Amino acid sequence: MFGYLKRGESLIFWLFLLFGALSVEGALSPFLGFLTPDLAVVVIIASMCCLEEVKGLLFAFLGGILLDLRWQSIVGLSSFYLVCASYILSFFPKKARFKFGFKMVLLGIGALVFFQLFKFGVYRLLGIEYDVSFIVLIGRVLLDALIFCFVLVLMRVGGLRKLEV
Amino acid sequence: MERVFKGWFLVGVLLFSSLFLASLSLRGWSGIDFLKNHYISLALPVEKVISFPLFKVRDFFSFLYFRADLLSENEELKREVALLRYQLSLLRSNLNGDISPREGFIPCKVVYRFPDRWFGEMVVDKGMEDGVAVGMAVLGERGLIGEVIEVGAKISRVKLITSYGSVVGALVVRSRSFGVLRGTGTPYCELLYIPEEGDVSTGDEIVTAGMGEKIPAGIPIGEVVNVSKRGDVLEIKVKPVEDFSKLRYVWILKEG
Repeated sequence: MFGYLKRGESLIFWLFLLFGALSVEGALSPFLGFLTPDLAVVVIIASMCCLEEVKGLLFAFLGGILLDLRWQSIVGLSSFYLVCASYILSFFPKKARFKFGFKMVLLGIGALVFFQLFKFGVYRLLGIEYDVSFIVLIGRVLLDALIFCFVLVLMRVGGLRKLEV
Repeated sequence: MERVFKGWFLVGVLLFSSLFLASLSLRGWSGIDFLKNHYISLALPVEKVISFPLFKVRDFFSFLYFRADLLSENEELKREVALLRYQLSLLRSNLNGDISPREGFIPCKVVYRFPDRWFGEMVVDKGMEDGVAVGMAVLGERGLIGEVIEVGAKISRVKLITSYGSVVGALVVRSRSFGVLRGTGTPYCELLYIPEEGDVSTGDEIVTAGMGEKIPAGIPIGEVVNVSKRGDVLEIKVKPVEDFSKLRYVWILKEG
């Protein structure tokens, strides 16, 4: 049990997971186009459910840098919005963040929508191009939400359940 | 109270670090490029391994489904290549050395498209080691698709002509009117600065004007699809010759 717990609380584990998610996203983008899900954000939100506040913030910062190195021309931008969003998300009660249930599904979906809106707002403020079409929202929000729910179901029925703190 | 203060302090430090990194990145600090290149070099093989079976499965089913079409398309493409080679030789002789016979193309594969900036940017698999430089023109099968804006050791970032705010000097072939083609972030572009009395009509062919340093004149860009008046100038909507949703292989035009 402690093995699972330690892995779930380790920053390196989440960074590896994020690297994997970014690689899968990169490999899928030529096939799915606009519908490519934002897997990195799913990983970041999932991490927030398992990591404590300080580690969560550090992961948001490092994860943002990884995201920028992979997708953006300006490094530091994703870190900025992810740190802000993570801090706001950390105000949710710990119980709500750690307990895998209906509330957490709602919290995750809300966080996904919030992240995309926050990202859009920061990009808009800085005058950076960001495509907000219906199909992008389907890929980046609805598909993400589905994947997030799927991960939660896996956690509930499979071995990952032991991640619960 | 102490927890909130600690949280604020950490958030402050992280936000400041993010902004500091962003400012370094905007100033073009070489350390950022170094990190990017190494990250991409690390990620690219992993992505190739993941995408390899996906490509194979897609190619297999495409082959089964489109076999007859592919054979006839192949014949058609052979004819088109012959025609294009002829047109290229004509261009070379007409442009007084803008595209000299010494110059060549660097064939590239599109490795990334940005889902939230589909008409903005893309990444190709050739970089500094292959002779790519910032500002070089990038061509698709039918015409100009963009310009190299960032070069790594093995990859390059390309800004598409449809990207919001992207500008290219353009020429209306029929009337020889000069203008500036601007991207709109959609599949269409706008041709700007053509006066009200300018001779432009629907169906006119638009090519590069060759006013930049590295993009030669005469490369097809698109076709005028709509012309209307806005104040003292014309509002011209241009449809690029290239289908940006199907880009898989592109060519970077080497410098002269």
